[in-house]
This record gives sequence, C-alpha cells and structure tokens, in this order.
Amino acid sequence: MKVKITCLSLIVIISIAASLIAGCAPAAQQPSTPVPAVKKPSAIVFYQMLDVSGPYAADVQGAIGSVNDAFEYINSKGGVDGVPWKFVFRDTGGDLKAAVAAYEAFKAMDPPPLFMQITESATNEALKDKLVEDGIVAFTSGAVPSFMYPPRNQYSFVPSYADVCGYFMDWVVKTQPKPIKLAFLTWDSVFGRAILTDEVRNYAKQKGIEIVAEEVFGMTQMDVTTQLTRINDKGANWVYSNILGQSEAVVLKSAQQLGLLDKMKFSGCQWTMLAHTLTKLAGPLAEGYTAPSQLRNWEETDVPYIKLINERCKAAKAEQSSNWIQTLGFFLMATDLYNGAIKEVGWDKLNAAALKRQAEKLNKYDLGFSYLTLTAKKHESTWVRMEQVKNGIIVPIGDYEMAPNLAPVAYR
Amino acid sequence: MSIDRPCGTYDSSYDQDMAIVRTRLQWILLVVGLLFLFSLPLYSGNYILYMVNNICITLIAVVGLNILMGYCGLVSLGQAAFMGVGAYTTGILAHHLGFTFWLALPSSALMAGIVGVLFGLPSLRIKGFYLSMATLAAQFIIMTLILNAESLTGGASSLSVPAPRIGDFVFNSQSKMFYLIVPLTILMIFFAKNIVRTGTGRAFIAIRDNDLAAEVTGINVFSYKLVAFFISNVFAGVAGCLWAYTMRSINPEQFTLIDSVWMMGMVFIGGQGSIAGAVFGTIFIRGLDELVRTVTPSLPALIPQLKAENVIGFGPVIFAVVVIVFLIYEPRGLAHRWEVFKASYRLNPFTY
Repeated sequence: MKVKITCLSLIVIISIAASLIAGCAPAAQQPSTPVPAVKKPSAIVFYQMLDVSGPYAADVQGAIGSVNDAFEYINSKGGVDGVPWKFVFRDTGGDLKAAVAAYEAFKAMDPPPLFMQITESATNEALKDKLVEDGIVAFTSGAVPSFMYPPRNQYSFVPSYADVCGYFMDWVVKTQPKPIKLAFLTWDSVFGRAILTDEVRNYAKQKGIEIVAEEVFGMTQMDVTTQLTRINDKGANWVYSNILGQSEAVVLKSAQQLGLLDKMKFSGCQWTMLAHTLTKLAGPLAEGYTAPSQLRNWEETDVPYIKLINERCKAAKAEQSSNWIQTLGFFLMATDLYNGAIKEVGWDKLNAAALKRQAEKLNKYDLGFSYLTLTAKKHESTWVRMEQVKNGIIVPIGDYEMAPNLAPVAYR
Repeated sequence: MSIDRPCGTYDSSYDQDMAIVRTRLQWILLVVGLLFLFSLPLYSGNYILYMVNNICITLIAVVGLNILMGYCGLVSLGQAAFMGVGAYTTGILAHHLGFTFWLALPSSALMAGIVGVLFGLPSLRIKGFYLSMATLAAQFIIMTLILNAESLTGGASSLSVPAPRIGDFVFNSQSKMFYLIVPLTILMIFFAKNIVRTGTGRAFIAIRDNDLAAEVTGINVFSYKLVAFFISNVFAGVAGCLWAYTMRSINPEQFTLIDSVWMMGMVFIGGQGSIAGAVFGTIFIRGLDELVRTVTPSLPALIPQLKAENVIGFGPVIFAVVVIVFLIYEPRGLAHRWEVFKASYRLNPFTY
C-alpha cells in the first residue's frame, strides 16, 4: 500500500515538474528564414461580449442587428484597406464569469483580438489589467473612473459617469432655482456607484450644491419607494441616478406612488435618457425629464448621419434603439483608426500601440451621433449636452459642450 | 455480495479496507487521469485552461457546500459570499500588507471559516428553510460590509491582487495558475473524501438523518453543526483565495446570490452526500453553461430562418430546459447514475 502511494506521489510530482518546465520554458528559436511579403488578413474580426439575456438585455436591444448592419455598410465601402469586418459574439447573461470565459475564448480564436468593445462595468473592472497584458485595445460605453484610470488600453466613446454628473451640476446651478438639495439614488453596482466618488462630492460642494442623501437599490428592483421616502425626509429637491432607462422608469413610478413628482425633480446619467427604455416604459411620467446625454436622437434627421441611420434601420425592419444610433458611427471611427494605423505601421506591425496612437489623435471627431476627443491623459469622451423629454420625444435643450473633468485628482 | 467493489476484491488488512483506490484498474485509471490532467497546459489554449481553473475553483466551494448540505443536512445560500470573504481576505492581505500566496491562502481559509461559524450560530435553533434565510442574510450582510469598507476593500471598485510568486517565478497566466489550482483542488477533494470517513463525518451524517436521535446517542449536535459550517467555509475561503489570484482584480459583483444558488444547484444535480456528485455537478453545470453560450450564437447560421436577434438571448432558456429535463429523469443526481453504471459494469455479464 505504502509503496503504491509513494509511486503515485512520485508520478504526480514528476508529471507536475515536467509540465511546469515544459510549459514555462522559453519558446524554441526559429531558424531565420526570409520574411515573406506581408499578406492582408482575410477579415478583421470584431469580438464582442454582450448581456442579451440578463439585466442589461433591455438596454442592448438591437445591438446584434446594428453591428451586422454597420459591417454590411462599411464593407460595401471597402472595409479597412479592402479587408472586411467580421462579427463574433457571445452572450454573457450579465454574469462576470461568463464574460471572462468569453474573453478567454476570443483570445484563443484566430485571429486573436486586437480591438474589442466591452459594455458592462464589472467586466471592464475585471479585465482592465488583462487588456494590457494581452495587447488589446478596448472601447467601452461604461466609463467608470476606477476602470478608466490610470489610462492604459481602455478607452470610452462616452464621457465618464462622474464627468456627466459634474455637467449636470453645472446645468442645474445655472438654470434651476436655489437652493439645490441633491440626492443620489443609484444602482448598487460598480456602474451605479461610479458617481459616489470624492471628486463628485467635492465638485458639488464647490458649486454650492448640498448632497443630502446617497441611496442605492438593486439592478432588477421594481420599487424604490423606501429609498425615496428617506430621500424626501432629508429634504431633497433633485434626485440624480446612475442607472439605465428602465430603472429610471421605476424611480419615476415610485415617485408618482408617493406623490413626489411635484416636490422633487429627477435626472440621471446619459443611459437614462433613452427613448427605447425611458419614454417607452415611463410614458407620461417621463414628460419634462431632463438629463445629460451624448447621443443624438432619431428625430434629428437634419444631421446626415441620423438620416442615414433612420433609412438603414427602416430597411432592416428593426426597432429603433440607441444601439442603432451609436453602432455605425462607432465602427466608422474604428475603421478610421485601423486605416490610420495601417498607413503608419503597415499590416505587419499593426498592434495595440499603433491603434492607441491613432485614438489619441482624435479631437472633436464627428461620430455622427456625438463628438469624441481623446488624449493620452484622458481616454474618455468629454462631449455632452442636456436633453429633455417633450411630448414623448427626447429633444436637445443645449449644444454639445465639454463636461468638467472629475477624473481622480492624481490623473488630471 | 456488495457491488461497492469489483467481484473477487477482498480485504485482508485494515489498510485495504480503508483504501480509496483498491484495484489495479483503478490505479491505472488514476495515474493516466492525473498524467492527462497535468499535461493539459502542454496542448491546450488559455480558454480551456481558464475553464478548467474556473471549474476547479467552483468545485472546491461546491465540495465544501456538499459537506454542509449533503452530509450534515444544513442548507446554506451564502456560499458565494463566504467565497467573497476568502477572496477579500486574500486581496486585503496581499494588496495592503504584501502577504505572499502561502500566507494568504491559510489566512483566507481561516477567516472564511470563522465568518461561516458566526453565520452558522442560528443553526442551533433553526433548520431547513429558516436556516437558508439566515445564510441568505449572510450574502447581503457580507456584501454590504465589503461595499462600505471602501478604504480596505475598494468598495464598488476593484481591489487589485498581485500575482502569486515563488521566488522569481510569477504565476501570472492561466497555464501557470493551473499548477496552483489543480493540485490544490485534488488535495481539497482528498481532504473532503477523508473527512466524511472519519468520526466527524459520521456525526454529520447522523445529524442529517435524525438530529434528535444523534443527540440521544451522545453527539453534540450544536458543536458538530458549527464544525460543519467551519469546514464548509474553509473550502469556500480556499476557493475565494484562488479566485482572487486568478482574476487579480476583485469586486463585489463577482460573488452574487445567483452564484450561491447555482452552487446549491450543482450539489443537487451532482447528488447530495457524495463527493463524486459534487465533482459531476460542478462539471455538468459549468460545462453546460459554457456549451450553451458557445452554441447559441451559431444557431442563426445553422438555421437561416431564425433571426439572430431573436435567438441569441435564448441561451439561458436552453440551459434551464436541459437542467429541468435532467432533474425529471435523474432526481437522485449524477452520482447515482455513476453508481448504476459502476454496478452494471461490475456485474457484467449478469443482470443482478
């Protein structure tokens, strides 16, 4: 018996040691051969992980169809230097483990990813170090300060939630009767808590805004009357939420139940101001709702990009959603980044560093649905404007402006 | 004749009676299996290794939960939160105090065990669904504490964890972490297998079967229940520590109630009160989940009549249907199916 155990232990130790040595040894040197002429890849694969079956599902409505349509449009115009875009997708269901598995699955695919989009804040947080190690440039629409800083391989085509909240504070001080007693009512998640930072609190103080309450609630919670009652007790006259449009509808319905709609006003981050969630779910309660947003709206057909998107969405018989508005503009920008990088370093040396250099040259770049300025110090957009729901339609009530920089002090 | 062992296998010593691996075939299968497992990084990509690492980490937590639920009959809906305690203990010790992996691992296991005992205290007075509510509270209390102790845990933001190292060798990839995670998983399974064969394990089973009868026979039911909570959460702590080192960036959204519920599901599907069941259950659920997520996006390509947007979110539906169908046809879990298979193999060519 003891002999058998000893033998087994030896076998295990030897196999572990052998595998460790083999696995960790440097790669064998290849004999030097003449470098073949650089061939273009057959496609540029865009890998994306999205939650289409979990809590973010309502918000990412239309994402898949809009990406396929955007690639059809860009590929018909020649793609990237003649190379077409291709789309590979996996559903995360809002589960971080599934998102990391998707990331590892993408990395194992041929060609490995160089450019990605990650939407969920928790996934962004979990992958921020790996993006650098793996040489992948990732754009996000979930600009949480703790993910965006220090600026490395992560970029955002929307302003950070802290900056947007600062922009709201500028607007509310400029246009609304004082005193402003502000309460935060936000999701109990990485995304929701992105506005609960010292930078935001200090900015409020600087603007003469009193923050009277900070309340959180669950992403799938359908009633926030308890939180609103506490907020009301503290005398708030403005409530700001870092949530998605479907939850802002919950906030407004809860406020109506408590009879608070006349007593306090409501606002939120850019992702509350969405026609396919807020105005659809809150109906008349959303009337007069005012919030910052970086997205142009379906009705702004005097803008050629929005006119084009209207036509394409109609042709695809798809339902109008914010994803349709953003996607084509985002990939036109990505195509420009690739074209610029290829012009600079060629296909053979195309890497994350080349794409980053191109990205950091973008200065008030017209995305069609918004503008984008990126620098080496600030990897997130700064352009935003105020919008309001009028007669069931979201309309701009101001021009695009730069949001205040509420990045962590160390990175300003 | 018992079908627990192959025909003609007799014990002639106490060592043989206690052995887990008895026959030549079992030894060969074990050695081949271990060689295959440990050579996996030589011919597998990061994706497969991530899946193996992920399954192993979940497995450690599920084996721990199985000791509590399957052997001692106590329900816990807070295993993911206890895993979070282990992960955050590792994060705090490694990030703020510079602890090495070898110090952080036992500290995390111990801390999770102690926290588990605290939440196990109500088990003196309550059991069943009522105890599950107490452990459900653990899920919320622990996460709220983590979210609000910002200076220590990073709050809603991530807490970064440095990669473990031995001397100059840094475990900073899935293939390197594999050599930490897999041996530890085997060790923890071996440990669990042996716990349930000791007097303590038999006391757990007695409490599960009838706690009143167990008390009458002289078993200190309360202290054994706390021991079960402690052991179960030590497993969760080890899993949390390995998770923190694998992800190297932890936040509260990594330890949700849904994770706790699925760990319970893994115990049920594998078969309660069986270490092999916990292994089967974890592999089945994690593997099925991944398979569904891989296959669903390609459905529109296979069936062009299906519109991509209408189908791709169907993964969880397919997953749920498979799990329901499985539970209807095999309510005693995969471990029972495995026992049936072994019995038929051993009795071959006879039916009985």
